[in-house]
Amino acid sequence: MSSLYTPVIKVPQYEIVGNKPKINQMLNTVKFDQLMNEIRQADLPDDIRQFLIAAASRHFVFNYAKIAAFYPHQTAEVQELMEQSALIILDVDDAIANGYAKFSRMMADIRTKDGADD
Amino acid sequence: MIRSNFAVLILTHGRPNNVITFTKLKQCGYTGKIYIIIDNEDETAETYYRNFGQEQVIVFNKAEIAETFDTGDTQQDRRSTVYARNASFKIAKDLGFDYFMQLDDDYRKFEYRYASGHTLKSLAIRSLDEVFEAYITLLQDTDALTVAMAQGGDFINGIIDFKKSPIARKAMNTFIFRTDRPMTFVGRMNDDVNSFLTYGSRGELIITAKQAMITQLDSQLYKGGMTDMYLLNGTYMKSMYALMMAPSCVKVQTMQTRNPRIHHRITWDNAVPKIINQKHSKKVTS
Repeated sequence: MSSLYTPVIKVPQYEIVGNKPKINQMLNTVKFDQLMNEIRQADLPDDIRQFLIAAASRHFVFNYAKIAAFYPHQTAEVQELMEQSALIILDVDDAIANGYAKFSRMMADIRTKDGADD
Repeated sequence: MIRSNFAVLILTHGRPNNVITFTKLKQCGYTGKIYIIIDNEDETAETYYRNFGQEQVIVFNKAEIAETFDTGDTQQDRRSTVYARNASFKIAKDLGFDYFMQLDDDYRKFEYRYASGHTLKSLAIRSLDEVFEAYITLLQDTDALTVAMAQGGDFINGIIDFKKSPIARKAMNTFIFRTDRPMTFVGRMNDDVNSFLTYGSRGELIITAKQAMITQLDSQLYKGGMTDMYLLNGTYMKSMYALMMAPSCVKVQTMQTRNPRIHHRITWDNAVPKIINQKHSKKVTS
């Protein structure tokens, strides 16, 4: 049964769980591989082949929870590249979490003024 | 009192006598500027002018805006809000606003949602100016691309889900934007879902904060607007646009509700990057 109570974390930051994942846990290429096999076997002009290969990359399935767990184990250089590729969003100085906390306080105040009983 | 550099734009078409959002905004305490956005193909334009006044009704050229984004298909049917959504950025800028909110025309409720003990409660909003201010502040402080209120479907799992996930990484219906950070909506149908998925997957922060919600009229019972298009195509086609735009995280399935219908399902772990605490970064900060 689910608990009504969850650990206190800074909303909306993701709480990283688990050990360092393997690459194949972060990226599922099954559909991409299947499409690539068919593209390779087809008799196609080069430009169309390249286009279809690019389109097949849309079927890469990234697991962003695993990617978040992978990030802390990387060097500063890899982390920087991961940030540039938007594989994670780093909440610098807790700006997002603090922004959300401030918003929640504002909403609680307005709601109380409007007659809420929380 | 809401800030003067903000306006609400109500996107509407073909129902000048039924813009219930306009009335509801005022009933809920909104005192700021409101503009009615219609397209130049709307045959009821004169009635809009008569009902709301020439200055409050802004007309955009639908064919012109159609050239600026990807509808995701080859149809010529332009009965979609996506044109107005994309046109609204320039309209808001030309009107001189720094922030604006896009609203549909069929909202019958603006409510708070909150936890009281073990119960998820709702309460009618009477201070909408202040609520909008809170959402604009959230947009500013988090540097999000857009923030929005929730809608009924965001509360399906009740209090447990609300406490666990008071925000969602999506935005629908009540988009608040900065005028200088436009977002291009894509897809003739399901444009909100298509757009939050494509932008979100590239690391743009898009937030639904569930402390407030809107309730729309039942779309399939409400004549005009997008209703005719949905009745014509069902929700099958609509769902397919999201699948086409984000095939790695969207599936199309039957939603088992009172009236079962085809709907998109997003696997969120595969959709958008996680927001993580800076303590995990090895970057040396000065």
